[in-house]
Amino acid sequence: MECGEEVRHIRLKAGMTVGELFSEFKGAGAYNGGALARACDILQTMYIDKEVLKFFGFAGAMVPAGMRAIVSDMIDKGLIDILVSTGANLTHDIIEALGCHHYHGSSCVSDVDLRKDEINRIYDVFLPNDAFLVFETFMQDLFSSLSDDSPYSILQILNEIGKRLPNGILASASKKNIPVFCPALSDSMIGLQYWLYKQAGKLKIDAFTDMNELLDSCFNAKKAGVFIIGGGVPKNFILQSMLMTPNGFDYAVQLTGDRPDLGGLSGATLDEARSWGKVTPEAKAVTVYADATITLPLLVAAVYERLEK
Amino acid sequence: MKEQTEVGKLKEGRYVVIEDEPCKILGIATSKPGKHGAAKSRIDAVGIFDGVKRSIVQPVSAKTYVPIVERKSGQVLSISGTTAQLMDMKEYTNFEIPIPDDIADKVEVGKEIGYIESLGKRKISID
Repeated sequence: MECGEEVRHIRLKAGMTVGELFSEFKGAGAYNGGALARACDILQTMYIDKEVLKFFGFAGAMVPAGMRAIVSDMIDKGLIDILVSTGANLTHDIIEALGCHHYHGSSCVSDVDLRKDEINRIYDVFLPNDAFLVFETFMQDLFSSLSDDSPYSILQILNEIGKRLPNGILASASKKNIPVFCPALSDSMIGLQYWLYKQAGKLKIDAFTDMNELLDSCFNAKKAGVFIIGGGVPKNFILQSMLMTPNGFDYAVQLTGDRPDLGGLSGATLDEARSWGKVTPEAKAVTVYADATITLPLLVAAVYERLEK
Repeated sequence: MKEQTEVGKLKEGRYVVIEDEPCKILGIATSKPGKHGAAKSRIDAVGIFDGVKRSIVQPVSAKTYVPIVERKSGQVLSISGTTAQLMDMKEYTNFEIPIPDDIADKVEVGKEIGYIESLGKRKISID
């Protein structure tokens, strides 16, 4: 075995830019600090390469943790061609767009007392129930404004929602015409509101129509790259999309807190994905194991600095 | 004929219109407001005329309709197979009505029999 370069010890100073910090991470190059630096290199290459179909996978309670504008800004800047998200992140995006807020809370409280006070807890973030009343009104009004003549695809429904919102992920996607896939939409408050609407209304939503547009994009792509937060439905949906094509993913960056030996897709390595043909043998891929509320902002900030140069 | 009301005002044993059918309410389960939004009621009901079980979930503030269910009586003018010709005792209107199997023996020409009417439908009902 041959050794690589020497571990260069990190030097820090006040007023360092994120880019400079990442150069230090790269020099040290170990564990997840090193992986984070490599992720920045991979994303930079992926975003500069005009032939790449750029996917973004979004799982985990990221919007409640303040990550919403990172995604909407990336969409505005053209760094996302296809967004695949959980229904929950989109639900919380809608709630914020409607003027409701998530609040700083605490993870050391009586959840039973929170229920009495009608506050929902997402670790140390609080979300009062009122937000869901506002959300319900918006969703019921939206569904009743749509025609029941022909079925809508999930892409179309999400686009209709985005058109009616002033800001956020769905609003940006709608403006920039970026498709937002949410394969498991029924598993969310959006889904529950649709079920409620269907009790008395006739609107049809088809969950499978979207696969046509997705597969067409995949077949037309010369190269593909993915930036995934977490795992779950978004990760599998993205990685399986290229399977029918002769290609796989050429670039992949994954931010996760999970482990490979517990059976969750969020922990599965990108190397494992090579055995499936989902990631190509020569692909540039890295996983950074850490809390994404730390790594996502740092990484994207560093990438922006690189792209500006 | 139907009256508008709110889902939260419905009562077990009374009536509600579901899928344009007058139904008798068998049970109501109400949830507190939460992640799902405002308080909601699940109404379990059975069609008065078709016996079909129906259920619907709506916010308690949602508008819904209560069918007017009238108990009337009519005189049996004639019987043909499982259908009787009745004449309403108050309005003197004539109409056909199916004879339910279980009380066929109680339907005799010349006798009065009770029936219920709602949303333009009728059914013989002796209780």
